Amino acid sequence: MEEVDKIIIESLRNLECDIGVKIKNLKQFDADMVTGAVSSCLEAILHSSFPKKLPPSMSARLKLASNMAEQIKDLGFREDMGYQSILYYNEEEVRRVLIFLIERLPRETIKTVSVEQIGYVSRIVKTLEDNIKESLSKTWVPSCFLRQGVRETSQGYIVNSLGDSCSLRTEKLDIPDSRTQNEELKYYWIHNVPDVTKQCSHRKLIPSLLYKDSEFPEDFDLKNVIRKSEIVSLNTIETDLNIPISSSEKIEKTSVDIINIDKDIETRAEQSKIDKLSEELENKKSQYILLQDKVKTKEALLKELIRTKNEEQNYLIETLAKVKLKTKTQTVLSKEENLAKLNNMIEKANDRLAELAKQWHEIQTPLLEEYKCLKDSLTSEESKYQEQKEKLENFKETEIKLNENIKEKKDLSQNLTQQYKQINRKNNRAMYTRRILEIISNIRKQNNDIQKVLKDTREIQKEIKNLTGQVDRSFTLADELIFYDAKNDETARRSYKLLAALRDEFNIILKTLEDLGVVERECRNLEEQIEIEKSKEVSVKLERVISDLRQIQKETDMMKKPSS
Amino acid sequence: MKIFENYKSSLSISRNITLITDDIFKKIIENCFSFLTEKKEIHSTSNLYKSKPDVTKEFYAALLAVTAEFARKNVSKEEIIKYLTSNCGLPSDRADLYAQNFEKERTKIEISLLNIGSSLPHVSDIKWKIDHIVKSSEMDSSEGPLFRICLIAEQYDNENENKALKNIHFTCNSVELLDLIYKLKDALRHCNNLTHRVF
Amino acid sequence: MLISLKKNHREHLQYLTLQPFQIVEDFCKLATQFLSNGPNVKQYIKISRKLEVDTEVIQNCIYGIVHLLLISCKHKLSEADFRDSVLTLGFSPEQQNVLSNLYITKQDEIYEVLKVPINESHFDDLRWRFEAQVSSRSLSQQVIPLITMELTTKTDVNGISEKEKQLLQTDPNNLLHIVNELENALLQSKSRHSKKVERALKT
Repeated sequence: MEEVDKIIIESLRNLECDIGVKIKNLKQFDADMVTGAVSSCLEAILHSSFPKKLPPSMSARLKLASNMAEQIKDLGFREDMGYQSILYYNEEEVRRVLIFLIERLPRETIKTVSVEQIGYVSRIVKTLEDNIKESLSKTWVPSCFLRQGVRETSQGYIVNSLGDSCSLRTEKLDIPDSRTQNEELKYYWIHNVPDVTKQCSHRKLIPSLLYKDSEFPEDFDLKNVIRKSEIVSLNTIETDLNIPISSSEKIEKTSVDIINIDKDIETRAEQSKIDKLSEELENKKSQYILLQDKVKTKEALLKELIRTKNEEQNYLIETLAKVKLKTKTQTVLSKEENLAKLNNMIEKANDRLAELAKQWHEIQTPLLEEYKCLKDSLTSEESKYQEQKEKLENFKETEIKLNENIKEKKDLSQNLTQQYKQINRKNNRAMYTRRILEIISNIRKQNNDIQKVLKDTREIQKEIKNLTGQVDRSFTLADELIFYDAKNDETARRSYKLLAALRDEFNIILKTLEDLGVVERECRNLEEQIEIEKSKEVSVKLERVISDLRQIQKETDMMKKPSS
Repeated sequence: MKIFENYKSSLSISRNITLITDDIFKKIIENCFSFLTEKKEIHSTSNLYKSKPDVTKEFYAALLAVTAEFARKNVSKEEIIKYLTSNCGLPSDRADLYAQNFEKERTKIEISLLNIGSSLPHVSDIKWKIDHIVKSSEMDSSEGPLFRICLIAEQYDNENENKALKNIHFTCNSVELLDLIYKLKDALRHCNNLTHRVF
Repeated sequence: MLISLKKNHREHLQYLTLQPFQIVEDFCKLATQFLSNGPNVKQYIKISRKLEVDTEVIQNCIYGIVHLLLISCKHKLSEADFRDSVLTLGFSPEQQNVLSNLYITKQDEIYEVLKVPINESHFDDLRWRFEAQVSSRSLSQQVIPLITMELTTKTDVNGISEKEKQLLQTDPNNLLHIVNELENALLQSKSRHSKKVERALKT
């Protein structure tokens, strides 16, 4: 019990419960300390404050103690618990209560920390925790009562069975598309195609709507491959078929020929006459057509001629006008002076034109270049600007993201440091493990001892069994031998009687021996019980109860006095 | 929202108020949700077609697909409304009506989606009995207790399209049963530890 | 408890009671060989020539010893019971000593042979891992705790245990139920009623 007490006291000190350094085990606890310990445990679990010390008034004490007992019971403490366990405590009970409370402690302190979690993984972990908690706290229900193996709860749902989940399989659905122009397809869609919900089984519909696993894309090579192979096979089939077809055609042709020959012989005479007449008719017809053609060409020629004549006339009028102008200029140019003047003027004008062109060129080229340059730079600037803009946007986005990240990380780090602190405060793991190891080795030793004792008892039992067997056997052997003799011999008969008596006596002795053993065991049991009862110190407690009762009476009297 | 582009043109059919009247729109939505959750359609579909059955069919198919997709991607109510109004051009009262119905049925649709996919046989129940061997053809002695254990596992039967039960029988003697309980309890303890873990 | 043998069985063993205990020892060795390897007729013929008796007599002696051992094991005779039984068959104490030794050394082996008359698959091992299903093709965000288990059962077929493995899964709620049920079963087997039945069956 030393070990347990040490752990309990250590944990209580972690709860900042006021326990003196000298106190090493629960025996040294007094009523105030018990109350303090229990109340600080309850505080940590329930987050509500409890008084650390027993109040002086007896009735208040009673009230406090029963309140605390009630709370402990609510937490799930199964054994007997009432105000007396705190006020008139005994070591065993207090130990049990404190062990129970301390077991409850760590869960609750961590729960308050892990409420707010940030980040994908920790969010999943959080939901997982909640889900498991929910799942473990719900009563079990046969899965045949659940639809699709899932139970809906206040926070969401818990999965009780995935036995109803069918594997993902898709089918090709025929869904109308209003963008198409194909009238026949439209007609089919309007009148024939059923609703999508009736096109495949219910379980397949959702996957078929969501995924197109059973459809190939338009440009998928496989399709071509299939088509090609189909064409090749069709061709070979056709060529195979063609050979018999052509031969049968030949046969038909020849038969037709034969029939024709027969007819020819009959109609040949008449035919020749008709032939001659029709030949003549043909000749006449062709002549007529020839003549008609000639007339047509002549008419065309005539039209052509009229047209050319008109053109010539026009030309004549034009030339006549030109000749008039020429004769006029001739008269002007006939003088030498005039000619030279005109020539000069023309030259000058030409020179001037060239000069002006040059000048224009000189001015234009730099301007043009400049314009080009500016345009180029403008476009490059623009593209640069665009780039910068994009970059800026990117930066902005990353900034937002980073900010978010930083915030999350900060919160996380804060949480973690908090947790770290908390963990640090109870960092007596090594001590616990060492103790556990010690305890285990102790248990092993004890186990060995128990095994030894068990072995001994078993051996003794075996021996007893052997002995009783032997006794039985020897009796029966002796019985048989003497009974055989007893028929003839008087002394043997007497000895047989004596043997029977002997057996009875021995049986009685054996019986008493067994009874003795039973009684001894009972005695030991009773002694143990007496020890237990003694350890409860009932008399002392009773005295305490009586004194408390007296005090309560006194208090009530005091209260009565002022009122009266 | 890229995946939802495919449904855009089909969903925008419902902008046509004369073809899909408010009443028909409401009925189609109800059909859609009940089909995705309860397995049957409330209204007969042939009554919903007016002049253009093909267009209504197209809209219904797109609505079913997009609803499943919303649940699959866990799209929020605001985003749904935004998508329906600004991308598909639906009137806002229709988008609201849809989104409200969707929120109501979201969990149920999720459950339907959850039940798509293959899984191992799921143990859902257990039966046991205790036997004692009194005598056998070879031995006079008794033996026992023996625990006859039957685990009941469920798995979807793809051929018959229903849930099939599979019984797994085995026997344990006391030592083996203790071993089994110990191992299962270990798993359970792990689960329990997860609910109040120390980070 | 003494066992009674059938008449012809007793007759078969009669020959052996007349032999010196060294010969009985040799017969015991032969019986041991019979237990592990089956009959060895050639050797029996050789011995029958040496002892100048029919081969059948030798064979019957060996079969008689083996059958005696089997019956004794079937009834779970204690050492003392076996001794007495052998003595009543007419063996001398020295011969009995040799036979008792044989019985004690071969007892466990014969029990093994006699046990497990009907082969049933027994629990052998269970390995588990805890999983959380966080996403699937048809639902991108989910958190489902699952426990995947590999159950190994073994079946004894002709002394060789054949192991069979099965993959199963369950959820925390069902796991809790299963553990509770199994614990209940264990508790029931230890209940007063069960103990009473057990005691009644043993006597």
